[in-house]
Amino acid sequence: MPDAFASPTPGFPLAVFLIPYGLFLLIYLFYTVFNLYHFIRYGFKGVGLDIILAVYVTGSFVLLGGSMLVLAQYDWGMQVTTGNFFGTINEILFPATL
Amino acid sequence: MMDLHHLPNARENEAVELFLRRHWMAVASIFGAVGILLIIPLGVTVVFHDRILALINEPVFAPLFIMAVSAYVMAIWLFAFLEFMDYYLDVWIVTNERIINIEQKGLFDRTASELHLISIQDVTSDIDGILHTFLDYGDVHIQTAGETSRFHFKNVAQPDTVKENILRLVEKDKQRHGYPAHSVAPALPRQPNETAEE
Repeated sequence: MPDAFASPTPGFPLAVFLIPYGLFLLIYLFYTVFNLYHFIRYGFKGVGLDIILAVYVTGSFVLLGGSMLVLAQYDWGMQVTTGNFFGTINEILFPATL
Repeated sequence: MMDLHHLPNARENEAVELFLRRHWMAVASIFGAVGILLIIPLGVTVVFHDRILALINEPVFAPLFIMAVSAYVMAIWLFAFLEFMDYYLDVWIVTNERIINIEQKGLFDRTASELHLISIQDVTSDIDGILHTFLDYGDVHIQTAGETSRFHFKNVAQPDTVKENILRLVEKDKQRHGYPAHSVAPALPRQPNETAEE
C-alpha cells in the first residue's frame, strides 16, 4: 500500500547536463568560426593554408561527430536523483575500506 | 587572403626577398603543450583505472564522463589551433623596397606596419640562450633615425643571415635612390597607412 506521507524523491532528467555541454559547443563554434575567418582573410595563398584548414575542419568534425555518436547511445530521459548521484560518487570514488 | 606576388601598395619592380615566421620551435612548443595536456588525464586514468571503469559502467555517469572527455579534447584542439594561428599570422616580409611587419596578438588584435628600407639606420641580431644558440634562432631589431620604436623580428631562424641580407638590401636601395653607399638617408615622413591596427 503506498505511503500517503512519503514525498517523491526530487530528481531531474539526465538531459539537463546537455545544457552546459551545449553552451560549450556554442563557444567552441564561435571561436572556430573566428579562427577560420582569420586564416582565410589574413592567411597566405597556397597549398599550406588549404592543408591547415582541411586538418582543422576535419579534426573538429571527427571530434564532434564521434562525441555525438557515442552520446546518442544513452538514455537521456533517465531520472537523476541526489541519492543515486552523490551516493554512487561516494561508493566509487571513495570505497569503504575495512 | 594575401598573395605574396601581389602585395598591397606594391611598388614597381618590387620583389619579396625574405618571408619570415618564427622558428619551428614555436610550433614544437604548441605540440608539447598539447602532449602534456593529453598525457596528464591519461596518466590519471591509468592510475585510477578501476574506479574510472566503475564510473563508466554506471548508466548516470557514463554519458557525463563522455561529455567531459569530449569537451576537454575539443578545448585542447581549439587551443592548439588558436596558438597555431597566432604563429602562422605573425610574419615579416622583406622586399627590395620595404619591410612589412604583421603581428597577430590574440584573436581580435592585429597590427600591420611598413618600413621603407631607405629609413633603416641600424639592424641588430640577438641570439640569447642555449637552445637559441644550438638551433640558431633569435631576434632581429631594426631601427630607423626618426622613430623611437623599432621593428622586432622575434625568434626567427638564422638571425645573423637575416641581418646581413637586410643590410645588403638597404645598401642596394640607397644606391637605387641616389644615396652614396653607407650614407645616412633622411627619415621618411610617416605615411597615413604605414601603421594600421585591425
